[in-house]
Amino acid sequence: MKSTILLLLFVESTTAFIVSPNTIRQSVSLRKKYEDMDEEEKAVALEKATKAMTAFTNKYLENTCTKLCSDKSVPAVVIKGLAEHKLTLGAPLCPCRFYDDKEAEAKDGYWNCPCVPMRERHECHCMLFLTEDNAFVGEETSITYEEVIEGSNIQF
Amino acid sequence: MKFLTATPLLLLVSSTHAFTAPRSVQRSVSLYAAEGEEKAVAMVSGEDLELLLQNMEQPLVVDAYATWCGPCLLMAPEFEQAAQELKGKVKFVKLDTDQEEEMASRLNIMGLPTLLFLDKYQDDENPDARAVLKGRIEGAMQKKSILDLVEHYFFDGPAPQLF
Repeated sequence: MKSTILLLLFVESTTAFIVSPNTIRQSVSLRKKYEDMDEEEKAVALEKATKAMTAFTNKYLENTCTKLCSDKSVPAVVIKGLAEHKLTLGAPLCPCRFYDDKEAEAKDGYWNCPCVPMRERHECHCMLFLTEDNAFVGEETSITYEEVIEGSNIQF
Repeated sequence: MKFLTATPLLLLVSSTHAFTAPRSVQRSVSLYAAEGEEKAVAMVSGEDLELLLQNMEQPLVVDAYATWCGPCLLMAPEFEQAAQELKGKVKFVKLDTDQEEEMASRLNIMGLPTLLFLDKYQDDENPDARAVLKGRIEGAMQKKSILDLVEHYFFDGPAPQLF
């Protein structure tokens, strides 16, 4: 009886990591769905993704004890880029790199934010998460959605 | 890339951030040239860049960037200022890597922004070669660092201490 219960618990815990085909189909269909969206739907989706990436940024700043750049348009632009990639690729691929194959890189995960250099050494090439010794570190440890929108509204 | 050749002159510099700056960053220069002033930096397509490299009249600095790259944004006014100072002497151009993927791939762009320093090249052994890559560097830079690198790569200036 005990061994049966243990076996059931083991199976349940391992299958928790197995993604069901339905989930995979849903993820793929969500990505396809963005491409099929009209402009209004895309705008809503982008707003949602941008808010999500803003929340992630603020949480990760807190977790890593890092700070934002003193010029907040820098993190604003990066957060917008992460949101765009999240929508188009299904993952927040680092927007401060060029990739021959973005989809492959997003699947690989090395450059998905937080990227491996950031996770291992607190090195953020995007200047989104800055350590105290960085020449451009500011004092602030959070950014609002409104600041992201305002700061990312810049044309090159 | 028949017009780019690896020679003893080829200097490959890879780096990360080369900025030194005060803690509070003031955007002292607008992203564009001052009102009424013509922009010194030209946006180029992959085809435009090909033509430039085939007809090198002066040294060329290429800023490979992307729209949602924060450090690229930070460097934009510094790059414009450097271009204004060296107008007529060195050509400065910007390449949007999101729009010009083929050229970005050929130039082996990885981190953004990447600055490429290209000079005229003439060699009897490689008559088709027109340009040589003198150096490249990744990461946002201040105007002074850009100017120091230009001086070093194109006009025999000393190697700058960037970090």
